[in-house]
Amino acid sequence: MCRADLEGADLEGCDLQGANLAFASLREAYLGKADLRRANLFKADLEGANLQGANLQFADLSYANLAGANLERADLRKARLGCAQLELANLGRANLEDALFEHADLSDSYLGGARLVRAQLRHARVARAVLENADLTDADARDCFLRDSLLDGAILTGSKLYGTEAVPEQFNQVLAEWVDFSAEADGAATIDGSNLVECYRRSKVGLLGMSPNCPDRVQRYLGKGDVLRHAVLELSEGSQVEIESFLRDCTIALGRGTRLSIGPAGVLEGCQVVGEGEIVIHGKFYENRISPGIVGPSRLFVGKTGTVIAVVQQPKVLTQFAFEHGCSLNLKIRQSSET
Amino acid sequence: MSETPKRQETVLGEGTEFEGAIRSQCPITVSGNLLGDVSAPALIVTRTGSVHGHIKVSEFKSEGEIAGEIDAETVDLSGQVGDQTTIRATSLQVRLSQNGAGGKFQVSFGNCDLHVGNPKKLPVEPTQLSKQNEKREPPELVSVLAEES
Repeated sequence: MCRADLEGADLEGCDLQGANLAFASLREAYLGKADLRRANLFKADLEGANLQGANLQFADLSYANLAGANLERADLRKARLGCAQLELANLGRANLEDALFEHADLSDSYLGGARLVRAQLRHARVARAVLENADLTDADARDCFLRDSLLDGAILTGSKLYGTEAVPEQFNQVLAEWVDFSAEADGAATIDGSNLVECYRRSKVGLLGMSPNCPDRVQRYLGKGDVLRHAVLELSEGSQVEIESFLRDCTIALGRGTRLSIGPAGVLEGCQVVGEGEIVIHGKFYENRISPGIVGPSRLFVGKTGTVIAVVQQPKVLTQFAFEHGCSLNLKIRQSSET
Repeated sequence: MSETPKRQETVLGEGTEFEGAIRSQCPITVSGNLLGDVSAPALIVTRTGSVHGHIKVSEFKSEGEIAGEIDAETVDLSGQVGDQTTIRATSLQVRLSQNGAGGKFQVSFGNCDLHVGNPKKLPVEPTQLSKQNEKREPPELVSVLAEES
């Protein structure tokens, strides 16, 4: 039945187990409660088809067109839907456990109450979809586009969210004991669900890997308008310093665990920052005369408003870098002279 | 059956090695090893991929290993950036993904140069304040900070 023209056909409850329907036209077909287990529906056209309650376990729906299809309560466990088009599809209360949706387009779809346990949603487009009360336990949503989707009541425990595109507030009403923000989805960056919104916000600006602001740490602030020249700052271990001032020809020594943050108004010109701490730059850092301007940081983050013109000498254990779109750099990165 | 627009793409699969220049009008995905120059609208280097050469693209995303000269509009990096690499881009993104020290991190940089955006030099020192400060001795910053804390 490969390439068969079954447009509008009434196939309600039919036994189509293992059928080869690749490239077939099943537009507007009625397939309610049909048995399509292990069917080959590769690139099939199922636009507007009614698959309510159909059994599609292990079916291959890669590249299929399911736009506007009704898959309510369908069983799609371990189905392959990579690159499938599912815009405006109704997947309400469908069982999508272990289903593969990589690069699929689920924009404007309805997934209310759907079971997406361990589903693979990497690089999927799920814009403006309804995921209310959906179960995404252990789902892989890395690099998934979730903007404007409704996630209220969705279960996200164990889900992988690295690179997910959403607004932090979308996670306000989700249920999650913990989630994983690691790039490899290997659990190396798990966070408690109660911190999800804040952690997501930090990940959006590339700061997830940075130490959070800790109120119990010693915090110091050099405010706008202050000018310091030829000064030597020695920042004690674990302290946090925010600079919104103008510093020229200064030397700043960072102790271990120290966080030096140059705010949007902060400018460091001709300065040298030495030591094992974290450096966050939203302002400007210009090396001049003394080079390298930055020596041995454990982490260097340059935000979208940041400008850095400098040589960075990495420590023996390489620096962790993060740069945000919009930053300006003229950076020479050098490995440790000890290596 | 409705016509769905085909997404054309050039793919260098995992386990494939290619030596030479590629010029393409469609995006290129490299999961194998490519040694040579690349010119295309977009280049994606996957985790298993590596590209060594002169890359000239509009969009560049790498999770693999790269080295050479990269000229691109937007660059999204993870993986490894080898020695003697120069990246020239309008916009660059590198994300940190891990909490805590000692974990794996997104990008490791060898000796390389990054030219991103249009960094303007020579900031203007606040003039009035600078004049006031000229009359003063260089501040003892440690004590200033200690007072603040």
